[in-house]
Amino acid sequence: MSQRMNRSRHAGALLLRALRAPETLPTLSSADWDLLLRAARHTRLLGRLDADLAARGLIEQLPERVAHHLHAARCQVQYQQRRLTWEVDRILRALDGVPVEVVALKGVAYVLAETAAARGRLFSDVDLLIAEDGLAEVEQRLRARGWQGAGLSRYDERYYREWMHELPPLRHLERDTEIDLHHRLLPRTNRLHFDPAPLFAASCKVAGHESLRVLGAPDMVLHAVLHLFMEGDRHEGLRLRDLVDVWDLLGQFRGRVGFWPALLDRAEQFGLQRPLFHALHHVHQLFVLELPVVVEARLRQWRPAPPLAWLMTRLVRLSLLPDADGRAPLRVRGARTLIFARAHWLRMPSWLLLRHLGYKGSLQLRTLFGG
Amino acid sequence: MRVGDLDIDELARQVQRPCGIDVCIGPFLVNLQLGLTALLPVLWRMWGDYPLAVPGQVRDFHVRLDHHGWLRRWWRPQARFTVDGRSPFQPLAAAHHFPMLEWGLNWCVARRAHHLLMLHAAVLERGGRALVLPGAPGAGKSTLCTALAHRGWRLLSDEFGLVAPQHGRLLPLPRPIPLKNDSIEVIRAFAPEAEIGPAFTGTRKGTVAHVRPPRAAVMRMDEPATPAWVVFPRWQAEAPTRLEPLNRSDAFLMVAGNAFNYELCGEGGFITVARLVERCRCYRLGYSDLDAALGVLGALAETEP
Amino acid sequence: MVRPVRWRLSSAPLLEVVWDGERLLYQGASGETHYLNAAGSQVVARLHEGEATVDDLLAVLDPAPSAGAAEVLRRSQLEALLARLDELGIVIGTTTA
Repeated sequence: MSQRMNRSRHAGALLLRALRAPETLPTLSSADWDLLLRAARHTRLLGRLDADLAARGLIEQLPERVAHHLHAARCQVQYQQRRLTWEVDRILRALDGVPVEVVALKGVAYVLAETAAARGRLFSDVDLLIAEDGLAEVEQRLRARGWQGAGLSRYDERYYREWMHELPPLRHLERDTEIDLHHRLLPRTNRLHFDPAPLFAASCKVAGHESLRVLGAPDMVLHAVLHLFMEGDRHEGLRLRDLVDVWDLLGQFRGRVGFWPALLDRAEQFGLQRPLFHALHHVHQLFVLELPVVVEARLRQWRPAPPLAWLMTRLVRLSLLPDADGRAPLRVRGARTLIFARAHWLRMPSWLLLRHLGYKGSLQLRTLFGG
Repeated sequence: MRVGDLDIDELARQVQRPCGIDVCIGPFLVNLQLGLTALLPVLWRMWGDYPLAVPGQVRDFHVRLDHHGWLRRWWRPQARFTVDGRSPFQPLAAAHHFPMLEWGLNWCVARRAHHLLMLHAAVLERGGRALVLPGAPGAGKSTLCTALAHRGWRLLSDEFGLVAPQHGRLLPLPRPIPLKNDSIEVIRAFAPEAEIGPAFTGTRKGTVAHVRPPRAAVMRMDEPATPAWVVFPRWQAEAPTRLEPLNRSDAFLMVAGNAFNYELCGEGGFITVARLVERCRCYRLGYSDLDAALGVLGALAETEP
Repeated sequence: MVRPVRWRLSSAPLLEVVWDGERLLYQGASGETHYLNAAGSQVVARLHEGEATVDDLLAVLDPAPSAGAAEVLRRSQLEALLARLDELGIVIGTTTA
């Protein structure tokens, strides 16, 4: 086994330990901290470590340099969360009187609904879900109040409007926060796409925000699962932090009466059994989250055929490994590419895939040669 | 043990090992690893006074400078800077190795050290009191800073005014000062004792040559200084030397507007800048003549309580 | 749109310093820092004491108001300032008397 693979595995083990048992971190050696800081930074989980350590009053027991990095991460997290919640505040003010339900998604929803997944979490865009028939009015109102498109090429603009599940991003003239207005959770072209209407019906109010809603608990988990498997990136592979979101949400909701059956029913209703199966499998494996026996029994029926299940499990495990010094081992890179290709395959029918990649490819070449 | 205590061959050997060397630069501990040896002579000189740290500590940044691509070693060679294994910017001509390393470190500090408020300013100290010179590019900050550093002021930093929010004092980060274009000759004439490294021509900032930070400045880089003056310098050909008081709100807006991470620091940033401005006397300095400008600043240190 | 009748400070946390009558203000919810000149600063100082109408605020700015065009101009400038402060989340206008 290569030295790089060993270090990658060690970094991965440290990071998982840090997430699962932050109370053990004060005993970590300096050499391990040196590796852990880099792994946590690359996976954008440094702020999360800080939040967990601060909540336990352990920051003072850490090496001073580590405390500085955690402090810096905290400033960054607070800055982003402040910026994005303020953007939502201004959006709601601009939409005052527009009779449309606005549902916050992902990071913004975690923060506003004060879920455990919000702690120390970095996120860069505001994601909102709005019923498709209200979208035009919302967009018009926002454009009238100082939000603008981000200057996309004609191809990109059309691509968004025709094929995507969201509008081209908008940005307020005086601020630099991007907002994405979604009308569904997956693009129409995605093989897993489903009718978003039930999401609105099950959404809930957020305390302290009259006109804002968040997804119901099972839908919030399913959206985090979709995010984990659909937003993969060729270089990053599956993002550990996306799996952490799923873990956090499950940890928070699992005590609620009827949560598990509701989650599984919902996955069946939307046809999302497979992604939920993989996500629960890995949350269980990596974070030792106990699943009720009934849940396991139902999940077993969703398991893919053995060779495929084995392959997928291995690929996911490999592609979730963090790399401490930036250059991932070959095997990890291979797994990430495959996972990315899979997500891409799910996203689009194949003729569209060719067209999209083809266009982007030639665009990159043109930039390269200044044409 | 300091970088310059190693002979250059030993430095070459250590810095090319996979584990590199750990160097203390101001409040930061930097792990440096080189795959490119052309910069060793200038590095050995410019970084000579930095202490080497005992291995096994937590490092702030792991930086590397390497050849970019094997083919390019011979054909228009390029160098790549990486921090923790990632390249924050495009490779540059390999001949610009040392400036690239220094810019790379600037990037690391500016993007990471958010536990401090980072002003874009030169900082010098005299009699225990610090002079902060925030500067827009082209305002003559580096030239003025180098001149002061060779006329009785202790150099804290040429680029970063690092303010610790806990106590509002400035942390030294003495680094080689990059002089650009005409300033190189100006300083050679003004302070012949200044140790100036090789000139790198054709960089994105024109010709750059570095002034080695004075030894005393590096020896005392653990001593913070209390801010006493904020002076916004502005060099202009033929301009008379003029020091004008600046009202506090203008000074606040200029200091905050010049900082690297004011917004990111949130409430803490506001409080830190407000305290800084409140405890300092704030001025605007227009000048063309270095000697006269130094005289005016020296007089501040002599006369103001 | 109905024109607001009364103005008050928003409940967002504010940090302020006042130097020579000028005011720097940090709005905690947005994280933005704003500068107010002496007149703007007086408006905020008055709102610290409690809700006010545009007339109340005009009286603070100029205790002996002149009539005519100058007065109209001052009023419209003040209203523009208040609208801007509202947009920045520093004050809130209410339409109830």
